[in-house]
Amino acid sequence: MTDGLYVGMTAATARAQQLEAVADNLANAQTPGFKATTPTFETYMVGDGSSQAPYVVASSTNVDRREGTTVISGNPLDVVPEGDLFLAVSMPGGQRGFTRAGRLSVDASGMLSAAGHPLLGASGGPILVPPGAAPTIRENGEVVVAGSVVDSISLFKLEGELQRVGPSLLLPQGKAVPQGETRLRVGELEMGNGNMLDAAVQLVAVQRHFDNAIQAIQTYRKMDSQAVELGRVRG
Amino acid sequence: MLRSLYTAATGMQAQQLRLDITAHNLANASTTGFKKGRADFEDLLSETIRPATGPQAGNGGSPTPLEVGLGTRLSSTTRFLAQGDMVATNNPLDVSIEGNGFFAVQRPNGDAAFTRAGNFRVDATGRLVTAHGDLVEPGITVPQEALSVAIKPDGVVQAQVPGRGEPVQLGVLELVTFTNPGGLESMGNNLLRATEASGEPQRVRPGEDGTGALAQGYLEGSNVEAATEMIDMIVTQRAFEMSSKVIQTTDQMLQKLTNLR
Repeated sequence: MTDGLYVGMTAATARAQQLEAVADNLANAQTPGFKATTPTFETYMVGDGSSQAPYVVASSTNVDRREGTTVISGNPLDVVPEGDLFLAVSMPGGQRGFTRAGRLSVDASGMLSAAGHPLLGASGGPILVPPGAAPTIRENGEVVVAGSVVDSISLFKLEGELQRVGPSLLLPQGKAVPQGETRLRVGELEMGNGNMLDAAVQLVAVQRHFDNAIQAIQTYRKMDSQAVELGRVRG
Repeated sequence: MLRSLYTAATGMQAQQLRLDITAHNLANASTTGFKKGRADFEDLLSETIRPATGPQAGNGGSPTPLEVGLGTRLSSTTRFLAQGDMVATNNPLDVSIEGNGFFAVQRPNGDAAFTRAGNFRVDATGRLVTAHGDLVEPGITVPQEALSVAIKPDGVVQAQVPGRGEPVQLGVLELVTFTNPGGLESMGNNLLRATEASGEPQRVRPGEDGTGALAQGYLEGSNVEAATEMIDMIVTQRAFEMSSKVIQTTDQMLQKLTNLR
């Protein structure tokens, strides 16, 4: 057997993984705060030098930080952080998570939440409004109830690569740096940043590369079978 | 390989549900006091194929994990509470709320319900009821001999009766507010029900504590905008098509794979 057969196999697998990411990015085109992902590939060579075949493997996932399309929703509790900044929420277990899904909601106890988790205010704790009150958000992040400021929303800059940890929730590999000034666009929502055009091109490219890998596998198979044929003792 | 089939299917399912919501909105484009719904999407948890690792001997490690998302789903529907258009009807028993708040009504079975539709009527015994015959809370009875009824912006209801110069006060229409009005549940017939998520109703006089004042002779139309819904429909259809393209691509790749042997 030649190594080439397995190289072709890893190539076909890699394209399949790429297709999975495209499917996910397209499915989430209308998910607020969704960040598209692309697997990154690298060459893998056997360490002891017994083979020179360069296999391809997916090594990590790259989260696209670009801003998604913003749509005007008119809902007073929809916000979009300006710039490459994130809202902070408290995840179960007390860990801080970050999101750009600014679809805020108030529950019956008056707690503000984003992406299904309590939204953290300037003090680092959850933002609470009095029961029965209808809060509004100002562009500087202040949460206002009946004319008085009850708390304010703070934004964070995330350093390093991002990791997806849950629905529209991200964690940075580096530090999360709080920003002194908050600037929000109120009444707007940022949709998923998966790009339809990119996806359409990727669909074609993935399919063609996959076909090529399969073609290579078939060629190697033919070569192998011819080698077997050569060695057969005719009788 | 098969994951992309299911991921794309979640996309198609979510778009289908979104279209259902758009259809409901459009069907209610002229329903009094109707508040349009919005489909809220969320992504499904990613599957981690390889976790992130720190640097190891002879190997830089992997600073980011290898993970793949599993698609989308509709997490909830948000009720859009924006004001609908005010329509002048000149009917003295049509009342609209200019701002926040809901009218409280009592169903025939005694349950409390809430509505923005103020197209009230008077039943056989003179009580103020909704178009469906549910009692308006707090109860107001209009005397049979009343010549005219006036509903003031602050909720005071007065009637002019023959033989008296001064109008007679019949009662005060109150509004209710909720901590989370988005958590109210639709019951049909323009009625909403309080839930654990919405919180308990708080009684407020119209115009106080952030509620709207009442406007007699006006009805609040639906807040559905046909143009927005049409654009939503286009976006929904195209997104559905793209996900179906992914399924086609996956299918063709699978076909190539099965033909290998």
